[in-house]
Amino acid sequence: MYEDLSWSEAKDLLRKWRDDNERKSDEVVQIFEYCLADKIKKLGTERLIILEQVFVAALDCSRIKLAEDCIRVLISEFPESLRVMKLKAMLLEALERYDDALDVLESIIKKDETNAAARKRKVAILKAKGQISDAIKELCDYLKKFMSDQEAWHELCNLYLIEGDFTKASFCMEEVLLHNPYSHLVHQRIGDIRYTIGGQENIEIAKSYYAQAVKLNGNNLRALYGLYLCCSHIATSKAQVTKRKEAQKLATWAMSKIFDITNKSSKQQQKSSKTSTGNNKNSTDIEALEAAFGNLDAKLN
Amino acid sequence: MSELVISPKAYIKMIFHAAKYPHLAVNGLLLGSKTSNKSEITDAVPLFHQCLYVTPMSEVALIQVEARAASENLQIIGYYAAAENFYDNTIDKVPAIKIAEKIVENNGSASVVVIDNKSICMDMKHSGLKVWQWNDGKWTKAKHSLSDSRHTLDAVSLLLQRGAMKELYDFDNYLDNTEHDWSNENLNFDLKKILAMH
Repeated sequence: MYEDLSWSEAKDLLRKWRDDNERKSDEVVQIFEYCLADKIKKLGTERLIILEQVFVAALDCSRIKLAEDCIRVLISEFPESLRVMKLKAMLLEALERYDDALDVLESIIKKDETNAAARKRKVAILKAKGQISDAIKELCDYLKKFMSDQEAWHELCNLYLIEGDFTKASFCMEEVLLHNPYSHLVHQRIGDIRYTIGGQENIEIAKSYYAQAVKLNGNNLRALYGLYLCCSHIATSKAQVTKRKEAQKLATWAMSKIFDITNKSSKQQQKSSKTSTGNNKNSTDIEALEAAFGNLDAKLN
Repeated sequence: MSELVISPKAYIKMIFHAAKYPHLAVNGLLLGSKTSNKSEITDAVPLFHQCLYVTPMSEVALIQVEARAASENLQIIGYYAAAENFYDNTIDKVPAIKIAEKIVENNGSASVVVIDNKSICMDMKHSGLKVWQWNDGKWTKAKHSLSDSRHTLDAVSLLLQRGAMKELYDFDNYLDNTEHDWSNENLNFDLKKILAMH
């Protein structure tokens, strides 16, 4: 697929993926091998950063020899660099020589106490070894020193989710929210976690986060579904009648928005479908959801 | 304990899901039918590849898949998952096993199919799956077989080499963009043709 790219198009594509921090390791390796490997000199100022990108992608695809070729160039250009040392540690990680990798990382930290990347790689190694609670401990220590690293808070949230500690996971996501107050995705994720914990209070809190997510992005289907679920729970709970009525109205509104979004594309699906099944699928899906939460009108009377 | 038979379509879709997101945990539902001594899995519905542990979208998915399955005279009889960690392939490391427990609650029994990450390659010689079934209040190891195993394994190997897993859509893809069909009708159609050729 990438054989026809010119070398400058390939360079631009790699730059885009670097800037967006996209993990397209398979594609990066392919592009490098097809378009750029024999034109390395033409890469100019981007040569070394591309080699670093290809190095990481090669590790991801288990292409150890390619990774070793890349890092050889980087080591010869920057023999004393801590950044390149971290890459060496990643190579050892990929080879599962975790103790050697940890040694390299420790020596980086000794040379530079403020080196965040090396500390985070230690957490990655613990995670790779399956030692989730140790990874959590290490990451918590890291966050005491580097409190505003939102990537780390996000990762800590994921680790807590693996362990089933939803309350702590929610707290971590709220830290991410502090750095991204207008992110509909983070609001929605907190809603998800709160809903998962369950209980009347958490469902109310989840509802407000989902509502905020929908306010920020009316097309966030997960937030709309989440809002619908929360409101349905509240409407059929033992709360005050006014609250239940309000929740029911909101649930109905959310469902109509969901219907709009899902219906819009079922028409498109019909055109590109290779089979001739009807497009009633979406309405049956929605009906099933409404049926599962019972007839809201009946319960309120 | 019943014998578990997995259809080529269900198997290929499970493997595709895991192969499409090699660095993430994935999960999904298994549809089929059960008799007293045999469980037949005829289709797989891929669900998520991010944040498997939160429940709201799982609830929505379970309800919608159940409804869709019923319209085709099928039931949700199992759950499949591939763990994020390369070496995790036992029942205690299955992500979001609660979904499987929910299936047991609704149906009385269920199978859990774990994809053994290290067995997945471009030249599959065996299924690379491990199966547990709910028995007497706990998950017990069970046997499984692939229908038309040799041809299925050849087909999946060839398709993996071609990168066909990118054409699979899961429920997460659908939630991101409702034009992505989580029931994978187009893929089902293609798979039918490919499997007929083998």
